Amino acid sequence: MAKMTIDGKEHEFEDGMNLFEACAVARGENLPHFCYHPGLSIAGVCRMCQVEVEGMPKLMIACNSQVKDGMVVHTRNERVDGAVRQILNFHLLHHPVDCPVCDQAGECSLQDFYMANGLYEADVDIEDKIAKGKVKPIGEMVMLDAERCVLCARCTRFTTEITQTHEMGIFNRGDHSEIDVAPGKTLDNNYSLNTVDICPVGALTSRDFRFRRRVWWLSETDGICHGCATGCNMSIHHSEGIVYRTKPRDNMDVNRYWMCDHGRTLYHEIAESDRLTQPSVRKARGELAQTASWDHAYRSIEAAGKALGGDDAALMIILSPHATVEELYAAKSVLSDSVGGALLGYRLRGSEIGEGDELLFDADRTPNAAGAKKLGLAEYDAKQLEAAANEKTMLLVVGGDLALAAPDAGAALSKFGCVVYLGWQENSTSMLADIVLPTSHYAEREGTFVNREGRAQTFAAAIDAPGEARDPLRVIRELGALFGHEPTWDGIEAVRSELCAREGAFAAMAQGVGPLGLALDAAAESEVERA
Amino acid sequence: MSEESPQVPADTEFAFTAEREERYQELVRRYPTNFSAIMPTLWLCQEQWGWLPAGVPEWVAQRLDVPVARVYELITFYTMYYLENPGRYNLQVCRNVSCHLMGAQKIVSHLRDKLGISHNQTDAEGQFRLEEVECLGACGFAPMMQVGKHYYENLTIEKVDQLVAGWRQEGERGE
Ligand code: SF4
Ligand code: SF4
Ligand code: FES
Repeated sequence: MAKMTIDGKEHEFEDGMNLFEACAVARGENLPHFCYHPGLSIAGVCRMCQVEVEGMPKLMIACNSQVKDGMVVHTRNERVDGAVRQILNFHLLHHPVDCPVCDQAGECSLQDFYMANGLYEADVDIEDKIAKGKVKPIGEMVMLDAERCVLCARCTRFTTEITQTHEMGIFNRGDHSEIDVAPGKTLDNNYSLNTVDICPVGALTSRDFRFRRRVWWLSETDGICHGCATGCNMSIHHSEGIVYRTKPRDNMDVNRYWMCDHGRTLYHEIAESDRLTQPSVRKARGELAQTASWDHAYRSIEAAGKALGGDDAALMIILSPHATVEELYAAKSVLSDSVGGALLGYRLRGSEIGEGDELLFDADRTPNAAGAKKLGLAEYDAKQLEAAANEKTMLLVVGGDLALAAPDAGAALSKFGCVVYLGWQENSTSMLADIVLPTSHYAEREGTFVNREGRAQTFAAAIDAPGEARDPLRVIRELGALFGHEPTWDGIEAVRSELCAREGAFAAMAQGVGPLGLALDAAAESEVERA
Repeated sequence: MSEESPQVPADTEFAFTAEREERYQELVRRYPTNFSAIMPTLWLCQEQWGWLPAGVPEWVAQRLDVPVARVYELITFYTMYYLENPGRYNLQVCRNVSCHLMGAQKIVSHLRDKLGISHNQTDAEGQFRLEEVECLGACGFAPMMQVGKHYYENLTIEKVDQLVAGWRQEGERGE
C-alpha cells in the first residue's frame, strides 16, 4: 500500500495505482484531461493533468505516473492552475469555438475545463486561426471536424488497440497536425461510434445524432441492448417520449466502455412505422386484418377457442429468446402450467445465429437465450413444430419473428387453427397471425435478460409505449384471466419475487440485481458455500 | 503539378531493384519491429522512384505488414518524403541562420524569379522544384543548397545561374 498526501489529505492506495485515478478518488472528480481514458493505453499527449509532486523539479502528468509511498501531491495550487491554463490556451489557440453549432456543446471537455480552469482572454484572432477540414464524413456513422480536434489521440488509440482496424491517424505535424482516416480508408467498423463517445470535443460527431437534440434536454435511463447475447449495458437518452440515442454504460464485466454500432442504432425501431400500436384481428384466412380494441381482440380469441372445439381445443405456446426472464416465467407458469397450454419451446434450434466477433458482438442475435435455458425451457426443431401444427390447436407466439428467422418452419404456422401473436413490431410472423396483440418495446418496459455469461441484467422503461401497446406481462396476465386462470401476481415486482422463490436458478435475484447485473452462477455458488 | 516522372512504373506492381531488395531484406532483419523499418524503406522507395508515387505507401505497408495509416503518418510528418513528384531537380536551399546571414534569401528570390516557382512548387515541365529547408550542416560554406545527394556551396547568383543552365542542358539532352 502507498500512504500519501493529496491536496493536504492523507490517502492510502494500492501500490502501482495510476496517479490520475488516485487523484480522482482523492478529489472526488477527475483532473482536467483530454487524452487519458481508462480503456486505452496512456498517451500523455494533452498535458492537462499536470500536478505538483513535492521533490520533483517540474510538474508531472498524473496519467503517466504511479502512486508511491510518501508522495505529496498538489492538484490545485497557483502553479498547477497556471500550467493548466496555459496548456488549455494552447489547445484553444486554433479552435474554431463554434459551440453554437457544435453537437458536443453541453458535454464537451473543452467547454468544461475552460469554465473550470481557463477563463482567460483568447490570444489569437479568429481570422488568424489555421483552417482545417470540417464536416467531413469519415464513415457511415461518423463526421469529422478537424478544427475542433485537440489531438488527444483517443480515436487513433481506439482504432489501433481496441478494434485493431487502424483506419485513423494523425497526419502532418505541429499546428498543422490533423486527425483523419488514412487515404483510401473509411471508418466503417461495427464499433465506429465509440470514437464519438470518447472524443472529448466535437471533432467526431455521430451522423446518427447530429443536430437532432441538444444534449441538455436529454434524460438518461439504464437499458440493456437486445441486439445480441452479450447484453451490453447502455444508457438510453430520451426527451419528451422520444429516444434520440443510446450510449454504452461502463460495465467492466460485460462491455467495458464500448458497444457496437449495430446495437447502438437499434433504437430507431422504436419509432419506425412498422410498430404495432393497436390490436388487430383477421376474420378469416386470406382476409386483411382489421384493427380492433383490446376487448374485441380478447373476445375474438375466446370465439376462436370455441370454434376450434371449446374445451377440447388445444393451446400451444412458442416463446422466444427475445422475451424477458419475467415474461418467459409468466408465460410458462400461467399459460402453460395453470392454463395447460403445451409449451413447444423458446427457440427454433439454430435460428438467429449470425457471425460474431472477438470484441462484443455475439453470434447469437437474441438477448435472453441463457435466461430461457435457466428457466428450463427447451429448443425445438422444425419437425416438432410441423408435428404439432393442426387445425384444432390455437398457437400463441410470444415475441420474436419465427417466420423470418426460419421461413420453412414459419410456413407451419398457418397450419394451426388460430395464431395469436404478441409483439411490438410488424413482421413476417405477425403478418401470418390471425390475432395480433401489440406490446411495448424494450425501451418502454422493465425486464431482465440473462446474457451469454449467465449475468442477469435488468433494464428500466425509458419512455411510454405508443398507441394501445401494452406491457407483455400485462397481456400474459389478461390472457391467463381469459383462459380462466388469473395469476396471483400483478406487476413485475410480484412476478420477480415469485420467480426468485420458485426457480432455483434465479434465487439470488431476490436480493436485487443491481445496476451492473448479477452473475447468476457465481451468486448461486456463493449461496451454496454460505449454506 | 508535373506529370508522372518516367521512372514510375505504369502499373501498380512495384518492385525494388535486386540490389535494393537486398538492402530492404537487411533492413527488415535489423529492427525488432517492422514499424522501425517504415522510414528507411520509404527512403529506399524514394531512392528508386525519386518520390512516393500513388500506391507506394500502400505497397510499403503491405510488405512490412503495418497499417497504412502509420505509413502515411510518417510520410506527412517529415518534410523530405514526397507524395508529389518533386521534379527532376529539387533545389533545397538552406534558410537557417548561417546561410541567411550569407544571403540565402537573395539566392531564393533569384531562383524564384528565374524559375517562376516559389517554396514547395514544381515547374510545369517537372524539371525544377524550389524548397527552402532547415540547416543541412554545411554552415562553413554558406550559403548552400542541396540537389539530390550533392551539396552546392558558397553560392553566388552567377554560380546558381551556371548550375541551372547546366541542368537545363542536361534536361534537353534527356540525360
Ligand atoms: S478527433 Fe477527438 S478523439 Fe480523435 S484526437 Fe481529435 S479530439 Fe481526440
Ligand atoms: S455487442 Fe450485442 S449487446 Fe453489445 S451493443 Fe452490439 S448487439 Fe448490443
Ligand atoms: S490526461 Fe494526462 S497528459 Fe492527457
